Amino acid sequence: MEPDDYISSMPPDVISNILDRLPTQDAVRTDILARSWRFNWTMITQLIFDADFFRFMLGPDDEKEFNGRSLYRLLIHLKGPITKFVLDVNPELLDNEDINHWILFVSRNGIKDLTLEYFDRDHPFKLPTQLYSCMQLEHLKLEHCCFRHSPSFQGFPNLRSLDFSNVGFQSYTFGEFISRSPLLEILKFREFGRTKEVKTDEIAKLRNLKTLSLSWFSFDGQMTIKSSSIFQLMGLPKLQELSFDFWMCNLMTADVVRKKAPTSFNCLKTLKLSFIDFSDEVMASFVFKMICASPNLQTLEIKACDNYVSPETLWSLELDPKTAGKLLLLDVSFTSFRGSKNEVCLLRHLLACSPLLKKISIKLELEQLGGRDEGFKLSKKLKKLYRASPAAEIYIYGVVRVIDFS
Amino acid sequence: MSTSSSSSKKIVLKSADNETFEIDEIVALESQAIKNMIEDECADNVIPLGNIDSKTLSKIIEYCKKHAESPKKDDNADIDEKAVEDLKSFDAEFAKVDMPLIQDILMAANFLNIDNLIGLMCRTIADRIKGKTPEEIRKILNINKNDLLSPEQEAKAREENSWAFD
Repeated sequence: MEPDDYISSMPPDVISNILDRLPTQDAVRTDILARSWRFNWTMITQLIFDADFFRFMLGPDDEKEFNGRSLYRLLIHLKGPITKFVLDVNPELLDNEDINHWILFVSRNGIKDLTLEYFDRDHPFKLPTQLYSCMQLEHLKLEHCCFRHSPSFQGFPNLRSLDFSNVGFQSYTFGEFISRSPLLEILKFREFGRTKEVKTDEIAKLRNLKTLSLSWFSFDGQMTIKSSSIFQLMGLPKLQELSFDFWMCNLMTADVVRKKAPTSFNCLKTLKLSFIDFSDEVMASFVFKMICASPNLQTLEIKACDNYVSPETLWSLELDPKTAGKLLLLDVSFTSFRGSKNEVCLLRHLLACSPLLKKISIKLELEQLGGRDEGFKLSKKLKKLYRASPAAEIYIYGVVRVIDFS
Repeated sequence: MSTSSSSSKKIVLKSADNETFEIDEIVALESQAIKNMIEDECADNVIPLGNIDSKTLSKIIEYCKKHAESPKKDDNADIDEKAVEDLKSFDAEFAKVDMPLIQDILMAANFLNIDNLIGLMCRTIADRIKGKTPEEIRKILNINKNDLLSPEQEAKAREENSWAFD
């Protein structure tokens, strides 16, 4: 007889659309709902083995035995292309042979969106070269992985987003890699202090880039970034969101006179700067320069360094009457604020020059400040600063509770 | 009918129960199928939709109107956060209907090829059955008792994919 439930009469692509929105285990379990539901799940086009999935497989108290091979049955049954594959893998659960197996499978089945997060930072996972044949890849996210040498590698010409965290290359450079992906719109790159892979002049060639996030984690404090290299990114015509993390990095001033025409980040709407050492004059003035060079900036997030390395070098910020009152900022957040002169100076400037500001939130680092009373004193001082936008609300956290001084 | 839209081109849709709906062309263009018909110039004054009843069709028009009015995500235009939030809460309210109507809307949206609406309905169904037991899902989806697996078949199916059931 004809099944009369609400779904079974739908076309197969609608049924797979519903099943693709369920966790993989939920989709597979629909197998036993009814006769007409048997093997519907084999039409799924996404395999998501993420943290939630492994939590399900291991049970709430990690009490269940996990055997990666038991999942292989899936491979026999799956019918169509697998366009999205996510694997967040702890090498203790799944050995490298298993991971290779899955990547091989998806690379033959039309993968467009691939995430592989490998948990072993010290022994990056060596990606199988079969992955290089996935020319249709649009989104690629990798953590602790390494690209093997392969003379046949042509790049991924259709990539729209790339998210690499501690990803290395055996033969070519990161610059060569991204030069083969001219359509990239989102690029996130985190590197951990060994070699410096990222070269901003190579990123500056990605004309379609809208979002860029670069993080440098230097564990020995030996990594030096040139601010001139950051200003090379000004040439990107569509860049809307930019973020930098400088974990224990040194910044060097621009010593070269820029020859190129662009002098500002014209489309930039959002700027995020993390681990800023405000005791360092170069870094403090870099923050200021970035803000001044972004005439259309609306959202600004700053996170100061947890520990200032050197004693504070006073930075003489001169308020430029040309830029004063010209910032279009709507929303500012400042975390790990410690009330140093450079920090207060920047804040004073932002408040005085942002007539459209709606909200500014400041999170005080109470321990570093020397306690609650010091925090109160500082917040009193901050709320007295002149505001070009009378409607701006100031939230100061970390004192006692959320206080609204507007 | 608002004055602002009175000058724009109109499209008339006719439901299975012969009710007619006059809508702005821009609203009708939310449907890829109607868009194709208009572009190929095979749309007459009245487009008959013989498999969609008036209750379903009026819901679909309500959805298309709202989405046609909302600013589209565009490369250069600023994405207005408030408009995005507004549309999200509209969608959430829109999906608060019973399963038979969801089924009708989904079938119609699939026929008319309205991508966002198909996605919204599929997500709604998935959210309703996520994490539920087979018995609960059978009830939600109105699965016929005559369609159930025999206990032996079910045991075998569970065995085959035991990892998903344990």
